[in-house]
Amino acid sequence: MRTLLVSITLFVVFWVVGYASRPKQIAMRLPVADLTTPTAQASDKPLPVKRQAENIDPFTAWLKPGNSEPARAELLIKMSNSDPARAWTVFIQSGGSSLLEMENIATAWGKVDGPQAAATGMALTNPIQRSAFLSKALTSWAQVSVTGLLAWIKRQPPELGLEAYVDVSMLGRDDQKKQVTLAELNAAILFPRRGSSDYHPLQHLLSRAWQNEENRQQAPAWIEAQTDQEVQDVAWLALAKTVVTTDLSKAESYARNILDPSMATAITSEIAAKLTHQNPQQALEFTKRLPDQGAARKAWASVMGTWATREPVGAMRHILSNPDSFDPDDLYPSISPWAASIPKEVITAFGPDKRLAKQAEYVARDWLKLRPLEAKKWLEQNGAAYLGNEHMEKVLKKKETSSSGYYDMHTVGGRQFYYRRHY
Amino acid sequence: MRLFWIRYAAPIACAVSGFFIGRSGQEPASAPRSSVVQVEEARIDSSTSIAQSFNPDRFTRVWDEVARVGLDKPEAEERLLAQIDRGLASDPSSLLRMLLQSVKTDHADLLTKVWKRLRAEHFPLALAALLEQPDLLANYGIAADMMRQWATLDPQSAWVAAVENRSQLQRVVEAVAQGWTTKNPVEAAKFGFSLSDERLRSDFGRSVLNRWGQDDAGAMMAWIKGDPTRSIWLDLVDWKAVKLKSEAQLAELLALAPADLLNKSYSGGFTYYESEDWSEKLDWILRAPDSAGKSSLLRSALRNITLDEPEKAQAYLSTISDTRTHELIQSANAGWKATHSPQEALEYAQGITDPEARDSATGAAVLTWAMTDPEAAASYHLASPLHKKDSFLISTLVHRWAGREPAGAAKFVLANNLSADDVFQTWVKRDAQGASEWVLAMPTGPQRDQASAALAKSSISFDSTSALAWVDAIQDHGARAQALASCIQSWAQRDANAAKAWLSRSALDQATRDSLQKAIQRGASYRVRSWSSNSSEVIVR
Repeated sequence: MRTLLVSITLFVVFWVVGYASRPKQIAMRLPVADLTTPTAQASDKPLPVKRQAENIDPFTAWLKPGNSEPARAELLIKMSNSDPARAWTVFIQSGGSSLLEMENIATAWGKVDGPQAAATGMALTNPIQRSAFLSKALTSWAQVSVTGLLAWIKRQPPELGLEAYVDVSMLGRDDQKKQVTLAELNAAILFPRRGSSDYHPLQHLLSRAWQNEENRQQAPAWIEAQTDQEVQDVAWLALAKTVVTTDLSKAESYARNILDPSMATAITSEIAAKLTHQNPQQALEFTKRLPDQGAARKAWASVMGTWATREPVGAMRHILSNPDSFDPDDLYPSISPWAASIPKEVITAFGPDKRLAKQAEYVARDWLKLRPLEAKKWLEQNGAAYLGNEHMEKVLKKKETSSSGYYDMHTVGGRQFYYRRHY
Repeated sequence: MRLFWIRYAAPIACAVSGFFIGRSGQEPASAPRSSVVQVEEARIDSSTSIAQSFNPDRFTRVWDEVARVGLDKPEAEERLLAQIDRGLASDPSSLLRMLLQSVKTDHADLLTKVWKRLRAEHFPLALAALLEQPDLLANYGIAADMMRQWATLDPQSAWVAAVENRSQLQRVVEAVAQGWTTKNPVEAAKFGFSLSDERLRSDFGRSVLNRWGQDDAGAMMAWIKGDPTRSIWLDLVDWKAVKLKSEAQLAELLALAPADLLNKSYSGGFTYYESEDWSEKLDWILRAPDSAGKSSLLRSALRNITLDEPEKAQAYLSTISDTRTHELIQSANAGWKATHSPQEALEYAQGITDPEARDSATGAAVLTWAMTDPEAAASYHLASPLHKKDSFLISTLVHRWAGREPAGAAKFVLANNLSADDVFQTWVKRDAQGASEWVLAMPTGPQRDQASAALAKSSISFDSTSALAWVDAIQDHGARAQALASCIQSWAQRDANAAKAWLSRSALDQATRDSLQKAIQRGASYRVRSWSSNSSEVIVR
């Protein structure tokens, strides 16, 4: 028994001694470069200063004659990013007058020193240059701090109308890492709004704000507190779009709050398209539940277009077996997917049907554009039998419409000019 | 003797074995790690002991720090990639899930570097992690990039995964085809053309041939020529994007590609490539025998030269008979000259013999001039014979002018009896109050009536009360009725129900109501066919 106790004691003691004297084999290995070896301590240290990539001073290079267009653009970016105030001085001293280049400096300047950039823009006497400069400077300032910009504008004479220069549609579109707060939303909605017809000017900013879980929880209360119906609508739209891929029923309930018909249509069409992925028949049922007839037709067209993209044969069969349930005109988004996937089948099935013959003709035309050799060969042999002579004539002998052309703008060597081109 | 061994040797043996077991022992998994151990571990040689070093908490710390500093800093990215390497070696599933939960859609460049570090067996894990992130899936570049990289290592597996998840991953067919082509173009082409689904076959085949045409145009053309049944695939090649390495390859392309395909602009959908810069091959093209294909390539080359150096392109006018190319070169030269001297530009334009090219050059000069002096340019244009032929040009000019200086543009259109709709539409979008105040300050009369009508039409869709008040303020009875019908039609285009509701409440006489009812019907029947589509769905707006 004593021997056993001695043995156990010795085992334990020597285990401890042995453990303590373990060779530090890890430390003895070849170390890897410190920069690529994050440690508990390293995370507390500041990152090393970025090494200087090139030793060429862009300000000096700018003043050299004969810079090519790409070189000039690159130098301007470097100058503006390193010291926009100096970039502006050098630009003006070198006789620079290109609006595009002015705008580029103003954009960079507004990001780092909004008040100074704004003061420079306000001092410009040429109204076109002033407007272009201020639009870019104030918009990029707003991208960095829309609340700061608003506070500054409130201290300026109101007759200057500085709010009008800010393009709020650009907010939320640049720095994806930046969190958008409700305070920023409150500031942004006070600016005049302009933007393209496809997107509401506040849509990007709202979408970014609702990406944040905490903001998303507060969103319904925030939206209901808004007095501007348009802001309410676009905010519900952005909220519905945020959840449309993860929670369709929630998206549907948010969408019901939208009063603006075009916004409501946009989201119901999107919901319908998403539902089609899960179950096209359910998606079609959803379109029937929509109270607005225009929105319902667009949602139906979205379902069929999506269905024709995902499962062209199934979509075609649905059309053939439900001939009186739709307006053939609403098949326009389905033409291109069918032309790309099952053109022969669609032409064969739709062509002889008077109601659908026009759609068959469109498929044939699209097919000809997409794969001309293959389409022409088949259509020449079979087209007349299915499409009839009248439609075939339109398909094969359709003359190229004479292109009217349009004026486009281009920049060479910092000089912007127009020229005329044809499609 | 046996007792002796038990009594003395056993404790010694226990001591010795205790020492060596202790020496080789490891910490229990649940024991907290001291910072010393963590520092030691951080120095582990990544090739051998990396499995012990991946720590999700540490990954999160590094990610947060790097995200704060900015991934555009190379040192920060290097640190993160080192963490990623550790995770891939020890626990790729957790690492990829954590990484894809952390990244945003604008981290595509980082993800490209990550995909390049993955081994074939990592990709199913990466795909599973990606499918959990709807935001990332919405950015088709990210998924396509991953699938392309997967296909360069294991195309068959990538293909199976792409087809299975096609509804959620955009452009994956093309991406797999490209990756496969990088690995083995002949095998990729054979596989693509063996597909029974027509759309898959054409999307896949197009991507193979176009990638191959970029990497090795000679081999791609030889493959098509190698079997007459493949001629049908000539359709799928974007011939103008093919990268040629020799004059002989150009001759081969002109012999192989049908001229109408060289003329056709790429219409098969998305392409990953920039079009080839044919201007670099101008000498080869000029030496080629005359053909429709040669003319097409010459047009492309001269278009590139024109947009690079307009004056240089002018010297090549005699090499081409195509009137559209003449028009392009001459209008670009007129516009270019107008940046320095509008007068010189207009003189140059007037010297052009072809009437259509002359008009285009004049128009380009006028529009360029308008960037610095819109009033002078617009006045010149209104007085010139071109205005009667091309009324669209003045709209373009005024539209741009209104974007920069709406009051000046409005004054000009009203003074010259041009349509003010476009100016006010631009102005109202930008500053509705400023536009209203400007009109209020105008003296009463036809110009103010016209401005009020344009203002009302521009604002009816979002502020019907104010818009209808502006219509009421129009003095001329006929102009007022016309403005009202026009406004109501615009309103109905956007919201027919609201327009109808207003009409039912209004106290207008029956004749006016009937006429407005027709306006509402016209507006409501106007259907804007706008839709967006990608490889998996269509959304009609």
